[in-house]
Formats: sequence, structure tokens, C-alpha cells
Amino acid sequence: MDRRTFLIHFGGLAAAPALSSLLTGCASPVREALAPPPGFDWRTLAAVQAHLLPSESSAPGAREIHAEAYLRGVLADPKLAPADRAFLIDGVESIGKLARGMTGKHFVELSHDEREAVLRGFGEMPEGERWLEEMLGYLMEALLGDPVYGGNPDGVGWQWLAHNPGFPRPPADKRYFLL
Amino acid sequence: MRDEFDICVIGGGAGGGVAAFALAQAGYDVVILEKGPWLTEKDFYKDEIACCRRRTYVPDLKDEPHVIETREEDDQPWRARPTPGSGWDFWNGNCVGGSSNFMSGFFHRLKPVDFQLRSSFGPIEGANVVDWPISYDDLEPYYAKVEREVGVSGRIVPHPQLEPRSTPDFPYPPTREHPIAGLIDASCKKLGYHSIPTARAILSQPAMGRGSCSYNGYCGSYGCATGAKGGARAALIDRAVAGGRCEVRAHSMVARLVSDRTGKVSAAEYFDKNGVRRRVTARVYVVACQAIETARLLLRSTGPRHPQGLANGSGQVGRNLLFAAGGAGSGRLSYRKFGESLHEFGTFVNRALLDWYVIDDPEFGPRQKGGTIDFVHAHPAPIARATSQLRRGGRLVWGAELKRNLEAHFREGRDVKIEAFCDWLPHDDCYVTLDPRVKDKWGLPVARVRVDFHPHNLQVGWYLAEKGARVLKELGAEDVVSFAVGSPPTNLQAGGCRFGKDPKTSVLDPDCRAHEAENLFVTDGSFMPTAGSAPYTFTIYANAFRVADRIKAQLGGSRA
Repeated sequence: MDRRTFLIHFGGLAAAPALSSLLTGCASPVREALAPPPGFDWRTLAAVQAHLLPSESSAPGAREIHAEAYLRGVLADPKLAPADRAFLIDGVESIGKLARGMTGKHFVELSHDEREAVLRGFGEMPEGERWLEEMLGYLMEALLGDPVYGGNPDGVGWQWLAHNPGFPRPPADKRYFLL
Repeated sequence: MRDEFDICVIGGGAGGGVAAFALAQAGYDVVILEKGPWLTEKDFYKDEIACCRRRTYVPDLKDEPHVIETREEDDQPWRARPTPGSGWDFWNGNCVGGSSNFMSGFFHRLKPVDFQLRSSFGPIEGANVVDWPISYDDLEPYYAKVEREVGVSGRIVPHPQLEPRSTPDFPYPPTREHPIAGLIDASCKKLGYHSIPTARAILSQPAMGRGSCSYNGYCGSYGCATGAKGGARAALIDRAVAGGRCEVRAHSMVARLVSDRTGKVSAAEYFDKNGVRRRVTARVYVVACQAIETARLLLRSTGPRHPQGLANGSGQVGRNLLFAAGGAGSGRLSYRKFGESLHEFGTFVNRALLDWYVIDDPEFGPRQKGGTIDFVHAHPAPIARATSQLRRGGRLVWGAELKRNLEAHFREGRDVKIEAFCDWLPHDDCYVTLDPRVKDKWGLPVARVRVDFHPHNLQVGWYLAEKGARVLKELGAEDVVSFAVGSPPTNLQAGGCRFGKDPKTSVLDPDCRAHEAENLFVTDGSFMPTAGSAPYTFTIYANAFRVADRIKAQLGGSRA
């Protein structure tokens, strides 16, 4: 599977449903090499994203902007440097360990205040603040990037912030990794 | 595949595009060797992920690094770092049309004084300031030609710094203006300043087979989907190709220029898309790879008469590299205070001040060169704006606090920015060499760039930015700040192959022909010994048209 096919598979499921349904059965050595390791704690990742950008009745949060799916696409991008991919993955693992160390519980079981304490504590660890800033940057991409990349469904982020995205907007076959 | 041409242009950006267009139009067969892809309007969308978050239009730094030399203080040792992971990236628009695809198109001409800095103001200690070997009058007809051929929109108004012109006005009316322009005009009038409309290389009406600006609110950093922006591909190369005498070879990385025993260039060797080494020959070779890469190509193109690199007998290739110095600032205009008309989207601020292009202010010092102040919208790119809200007082914020910050930033007002340009003084610690160890994906030595700045840049930058801030304060903006920085803006490069009359102190002659290789010309910004106080593309275009005329004369005149 080449890079183009790979990214259609992972990065654009929302934008290319027909293609994705054709490809979901494909075993891919590239996918195995790039995907987080088996047992990666997606639940903690999603809970961290939801804490950093919470859902509110009047404003979308990580769940509404499809932040987890968006990050799956980011992690599957072959142009993401291996060190950067490892950094993102290791950060989730570190937060999980810190949560257990501080509270004895899994991150997803923590109250809002406990999650806040864990993430503030993580931010004081070496590289912790850089990880959080990077994750917030990807959340802003999922919030305000073009929906063709899998976040910001129906422009929900643009609508919330009264932002005009301009035109023309990118079609699926002109996403950056296909140029 | 054809391998003989009249003209071989290396680099399909602003300088190369003009040379290809003008010489193909004159009846010469031209090939452009461009290392990047050939993207067109059909590839350009308002896609911040593509343009700015993943940097789609520049090489991967792992494949094509530079090595950057900096130091913390004057008494500290220089520290060299490859660009991957360093925060530095000196690539700009690697594709046909080059970085001009992604410019904002602020087209200020240089002024007569820019051609005579040394004789007008004297030397500055630690700076290698010299006069140009040509005058404004030599370049003026070519500025007019650019306005016509590339398509410049604007409106001439009288003001004290207006340069002499051979035409009464721009060939295209100004692009539509945002209400902020009127606020700036009123503020400047109260202060006794002369605000002027900024000319833009953007078509305000369809012309030359290109569309008009669509006023979609995104311009700089983004490719233009209508062809209105006067980048080299849309404005020039497409026309050259349509004329049948210009071939574009994209994905063609020139490894070196081969020279013979007489010193003349005899071939260009390049790697094609598949990594196959190929060669073309031509009567004249035009190099225009942007300043750093032009110097790098010449330095690695050694030959029997060029043991230190092509045209580098003087040792001047790569020296006196220039960027754009200056200051910046911003102010906040709230919708509550200024009304709903500020919501207008897509039109331009297009205002500039040239009152201090020469600073004659005893409180600041002796009469000296100043610069240009532009007022522009803060870029609408939403992800960049959102990430600018991630910190308060240096502290990372998230959760509801971040969301309220985003709401306030996006929904309660808009920012207007100050961009002040002054001369980046040429000096001994800003130059390009070849790195002795690091190589790119083709196995070619990469450029090693020392990027120190002269402290005088900062003084002038602060002065200009503060003048801009006064305008914003006068009009009632909130949170007005202004500042200057010493770091080079990596998208504004010039110098490194300065032109001059003396072969011992310059690389190029006044026609931008290499002193040491009669069939080698340079048409990007490398020729500039000083670079003026405005973005460079307009002057690069104008000079390239001038040089194209010299090439035509050398080859026997127009064949068309």
C-alpha cells in the first residue's frame, strides 16, 4: 500500500466513505508500522482531549469536532516524523501512569478536578508542557481545519466562532498529502 | 528528450519566471529546471492544513536541511545546527512560480535613495554598505513594465516620498478596501501623516487570461485559485509556455553547472524526478534559486577556472546575505466600539506610510535611511489564530478558559497589524557557505547559513513600528503594541551575489552577468548589495526584465 492509499485509508474516512469501505479489510504492513502499538490507550487519549476542550451546550468540544478520529489520522501520516509519533504516544502512556500514581485509578475514572490535577502535574514534568501544547495544537486543527481532514464536521468549529473559511475549499482529492 | 536550448533557467520563481517569459517572447528557446512540482490554480485551495500546518509547498527538512549558525551574544561561540527540529526553515515555495505563488504582493518600488545609500548617508560601522552600480532611472522603465505585464493594482496619490514615474498611475484600479482603511486615513490626517494606498500585485479585474481577485479573505501564504495574484507562474510562465518556446521541467534538481577551460558554463547537470542524472546545454544560463540556494549552487559548481566555486574568484559568492529588517505591531478593534461594518470579510486594508523612508529627526540621530510601514489585517488563518490563544501570562490554558478566550478573540473584534520594513544592513556575519558534512537526499552538500544581524536594524525597526503604533492609538485601537526583532524573516532573502563594477568586490557586473563567466546571469534577489525597505519581489521582477534585455542584446537581439 503506497502513501496515497494509506492516507485515504486512515486520514480521510469521513471524507471518503466509499474508498474507506473498500479498504478497511486490507492488511497493511505500513499501517502496522505507523499505528500506535496494540493496547494503546485510546480511552485515555479521548478523555484527555475532552478535558482540554470540553463539550458544552453552546460550544463544541473534542467529541463534537471528532478530535480522536482526527488524531488517528495524524498518527497515520507517514510524513509525521517517527520521533514525533512516539512523543505523542508516549505522552498518553505517561499521563496514564501519572493518574494511577496520583490517584490509584485509570484516567477515565477520574473526576474533573482529579483530571485537572493530573494534567497540571504532567505539565510540570519534563516535556509535559510541550506535549500538552502539541495536543492542543491538534485540537485546534480538528476544530478549525477543513472538514475534509476528518475534524470540524459540517464546519461546527467555524460556526461556533463565526469564522468565514473562504473559498474554494479543498476537495478530498486535493488534500495536502495528495498534491 | 531535448537537451539543447538557447536559455537554461535554473529556478522557476520570480527571477527565473521573468527571464523565461521575456526571452521566450523574444523568440529564444527556453527550458526552466525547477526542483519542485508544477502546481496550478487547480491545486490551490483555502486549506490552512496544507499551506501552513504541514508546509506542503516546501521540502521535508529531513531530506533537504540547511545548517544554521547563530550565537547568543557577541562574545559567545557560533553554534551550528541542522534545520530539522531547530525551528528554522529557510525554504519558501518550492514549485513552479516559487514563493511568488504565496506572496501577499505588496508592491512598493524602491526609491532613488536606495541606489545610493553609501553616498547619501555615509558608512555605518560594521556594515558593508555600498551604492548600487545602476540608478533608479535605469530601473524605472522596468518597474512600469512589471506593473503592466504582471498586473499591479493601485492608485497614485501625491506624497513627499513619491518616486518619479513614467506613467501617471497603475494600470489596474485598486483592489476593494476594508473600512479599516478609512479609519487609518482619518487617524493619519489628525497626526499630519500621509497615508497612501498600497499597490498590490493582484488583479482587481480580469486581464491577460487571468481572473480577478475573488476577495475570499486569504492571500499571503496561500496559493491563488483565480490567477489574480501576480506570481511568476500565473503571470509569466504560463504565458511563456503557451507561446510554445518555453519548456518547464518540474522535479528537476540542478546538481551543478559545468564550466569549461575558458570559464564559460557549458552544461547544467540535474536529477530528474526518478533520480536519474541528466544534462542540458544552452548558450546562456540564468540562475534564480532564491539567495541561499543560488549561492549554494555556485559554490558547489567548481570547474577548471573556478576552483572556489563558479564565479567566485573574488570569494564574494554567499557573502553579504540580506533579509528584511524591521518592526511589527498590532492593535485590537472591537466590534462593540467600531460597529458591525468591521465584520466585512475579504477586502484589503492596503494602507502604507512612507513619511519616514528617510528619517530626518534630530531626536533619533543624524539624517538616515528609514523604511516603509504597512497596515494589514491580521491573517485570517484560524488555526494559527487559535493557537495564539493557548497561553495567558505565559501559562498554558485549556478547558472552559481556553474556549472563552477563543470566543473573545474570534467574535468580539479583529486585529490590525503593523509591518515595518527597513534595510537589513549587509555585514560580515551574514553569509552562505557549503556545510562540510551535511548532505541532502541527492548527496549534495547543503548550505550553511550564518544569520547574525546588525544592531542598527533594530533601532530603525523600533522607530518605524512605534510610528505605526501611534496611528493605531489615535484611531482608538486597544492593546496596541509595537516592537522590532533581530531574527531574519526567512521568506525575504536577497544578496549573496552582489552586483558591482569591481570584480574584486562583486560577483556580478552591473548587468547581473557573472564577472568571471560571460554566459552566466543571476536574476533573483541575490544581486542586491543593499535591498531597500520594502518586500523584494517587485524589484526582483523589474531587475529581471532589465537583465533579460541585456541577455537579448548579448545574443543578438530579439528573434521574434
